[in-house]
Amino acid sequence: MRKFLLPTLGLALLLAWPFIAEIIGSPALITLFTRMMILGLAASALNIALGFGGLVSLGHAAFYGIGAYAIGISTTHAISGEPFLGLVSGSNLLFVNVLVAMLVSGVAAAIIGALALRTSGIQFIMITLAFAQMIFFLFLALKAYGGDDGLTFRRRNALFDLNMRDDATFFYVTLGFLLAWLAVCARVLHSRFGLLLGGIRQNERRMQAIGVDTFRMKWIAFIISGMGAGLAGALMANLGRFVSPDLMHWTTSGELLIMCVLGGSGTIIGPVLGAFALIGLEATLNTWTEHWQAILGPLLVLMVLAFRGGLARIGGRKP
Amino acid sequence: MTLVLEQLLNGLQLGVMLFLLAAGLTLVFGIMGVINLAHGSLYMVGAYAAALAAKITGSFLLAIPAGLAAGGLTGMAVEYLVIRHLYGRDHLDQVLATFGLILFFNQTIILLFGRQPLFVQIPPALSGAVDLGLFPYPAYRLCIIAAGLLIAVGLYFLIQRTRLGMLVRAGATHREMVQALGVDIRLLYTIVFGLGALLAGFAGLMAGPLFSVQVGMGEQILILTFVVVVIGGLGSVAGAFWGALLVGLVDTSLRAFLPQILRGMMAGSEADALASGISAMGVYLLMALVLLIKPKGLFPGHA
Amino acid sequence: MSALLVLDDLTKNFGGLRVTDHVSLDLRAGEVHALIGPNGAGKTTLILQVMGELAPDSGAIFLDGAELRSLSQAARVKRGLARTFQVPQVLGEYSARENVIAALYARGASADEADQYLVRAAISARADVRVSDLAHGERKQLELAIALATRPRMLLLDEPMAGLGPAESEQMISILQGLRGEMAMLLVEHDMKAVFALADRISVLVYGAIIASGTPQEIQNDPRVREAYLGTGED
Repeated sequence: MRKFLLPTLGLALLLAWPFIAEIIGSPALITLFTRMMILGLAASALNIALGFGGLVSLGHAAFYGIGAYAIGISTTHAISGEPFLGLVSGSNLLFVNVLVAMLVSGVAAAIIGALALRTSGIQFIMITLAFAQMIFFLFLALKAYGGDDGLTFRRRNALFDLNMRDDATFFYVTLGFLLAWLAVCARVLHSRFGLLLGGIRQNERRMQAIGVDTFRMKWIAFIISGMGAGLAGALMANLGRFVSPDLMHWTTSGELLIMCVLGGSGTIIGPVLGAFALIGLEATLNTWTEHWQAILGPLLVLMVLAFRGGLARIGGRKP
Repeated sequence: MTLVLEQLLNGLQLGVMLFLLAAGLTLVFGIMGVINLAHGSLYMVGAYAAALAAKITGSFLLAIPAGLAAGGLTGMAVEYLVIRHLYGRDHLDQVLATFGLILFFNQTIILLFGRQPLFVQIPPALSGAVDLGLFPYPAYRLCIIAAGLLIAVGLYFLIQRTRLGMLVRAGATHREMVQALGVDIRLLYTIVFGLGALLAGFAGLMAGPLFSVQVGMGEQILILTFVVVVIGGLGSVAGAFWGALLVGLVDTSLRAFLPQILRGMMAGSEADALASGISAMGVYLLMALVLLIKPKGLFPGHA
Repeated sequence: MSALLVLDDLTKNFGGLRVTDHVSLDLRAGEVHALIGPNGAGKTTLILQVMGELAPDSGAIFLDGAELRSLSQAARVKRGLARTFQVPQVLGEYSARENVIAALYARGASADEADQYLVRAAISARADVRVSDLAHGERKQLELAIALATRPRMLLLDEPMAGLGPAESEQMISILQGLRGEMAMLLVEHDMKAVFALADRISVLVYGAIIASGTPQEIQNDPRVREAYLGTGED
């Protein structure tokens, strides 16, 4: 039963959070926590590639940004009534847009993954970073969708008859998506696929010798991972009703990696904890000094040099 | 025609700058097996130190040793304090720690110099143009090309003809053997890392008068350097050289010529938009092409 | 008996070094064929080429008459090739059973079959132990269980006795005796006791080339082999 105690408490806290934030008189904390959950979802998506597949991707900001832009572009077309490329009309429905975002991110991950997975190790890191930068520059040059100014839209996408304008409502919608995503992760990772993927992370040569097409497995993991990042981007676009190339700045990829490692990349819930910890830390440091990165940087170096395995493993869990 | 030649020289100039960074990055990988994201920070430190020295003393000649010293010393300090502990660790650990270094360097520079970019004057002696017969070309850029090529030749001799170079080549493939020969491998690593940092600092100080000196300049060129290293082949200095020239030429040519070419085919505004999109992606598409044909790069190193 | 695996005039160079020199071999179904030779003779390189980890420069490999050249390692395993590694390549974070289950999942079988392979390799008592906690000898046995779980028709054994103590070697020999007849085996081995206990035929590889092939009796009495390899007598 102890195994379920902490997650249950955490979930109860999240469910009560909008009320707590109102009571302590800081409704801004609702949005802060929504951001944490969204980035937690993105980190947990990255972790399918990183923690379970052993693929150190430094380019997930691209899939995150593509998911966000899918929302931005579809919503703007829905508002203007002009079809996209003169072919498809936009949509203002959250479920439709989320599916589109995941699909587009998945296609991008399939293409980038197919190229990057031809290598491994340091090259893989460099290549994922480079392709993410390419996508960043592409959207920067895309004047039709705002270029470096990005796209702003007035209203969040519609979901049933919910009042999406209300930050607390959007908080619960985000929580719902996060839980659904984690359930999918748990499902995937406890499947045959998950066992084989974990085997590839431990010893790829062994897996090839028992007849596993390791390239294909890693590719599928990379695509799922990219789709999850796209889902997170879609939610982030809705949260701020704004998308810009800044979303896919390469430092976001780095921060997602930190979240995974900070929270423990060997667990499903770890990256989400890592996201809460990192964003919480950033927000706290930010109240002291605007130059908080000068503190966070050395902290990160110390963390890498001193601890290995992340928060979730400090709790005594086996990797 | 002269325009084409001029752009080719511009491409060559970008190429040698990229080479200075790529050589250090690829050596550090080849010999120590470390990925150093903070390599661009050393470039930035060199640029800022040179800009500061030029501003205080008014002399670009004094800015050169300032930039070199700042890059080299910062590099050796970074190696001693952080990188040294990352040899043999996961690439993920290396990425995270050097990412932390970037945050630190960028924010410290903001603390010291603010967010406003610094501008550095081209030294008066080099501010003119040199008549190359067909067209005049800025003396400063020509000077960069010459210096870069000289350094490339110097590196070639250092690696092929000296004892240090022999150890570097041997260290990349047979780390244990070099150790068994009684060579202080730690010292060798520090020297190699310092050399890479020196080259990065040199690139930074030369970049000052051409680009604005600002926070983030390191990462922008770092990612381009990654493209160079992937195209050239990880661990190979020759690959870094040819990869850098290729990337410099392709990037410069696309930006210079693509808009005109496309304008011949479609409306001006559409052509410009498409051209800027394609040229922004150009070198990355080149990298994709190389990956399809030769996943290990054009000149794969031993490592 | 017809040949199951045929190596036809394989050649492979590394730089200036010829590691496989016009090697031809016929391995018959159900037969144990030992491949012996000094260190660096190119025995493991041969296994790599059969599995498709390394492409030969020239020559061809046939399994049941079908050329393997264009097939990936995964496809070769599906057709009935399997190998063990000299240095155990096992999944350290998983239990021994999970290691075998991975091989079962790889061919779409159910995890329930795992125990039978653990039993065959005499490692079932350690089924639930994390593999990083297993001793070297146990890992060698697990190597075998994993390979068996792919249900090979042709099993390539890369020095199964390497690093085993006398008792462990005895056990490994008796495990392999138990598999005799169910599948063909190519036994790369230095331990002559094991070779003569198990092999139906023996080939001797020196500097990448096969210098002799025959029954254990013939090999033992072959003067070239004595000179090149067994030279000092007992090994």
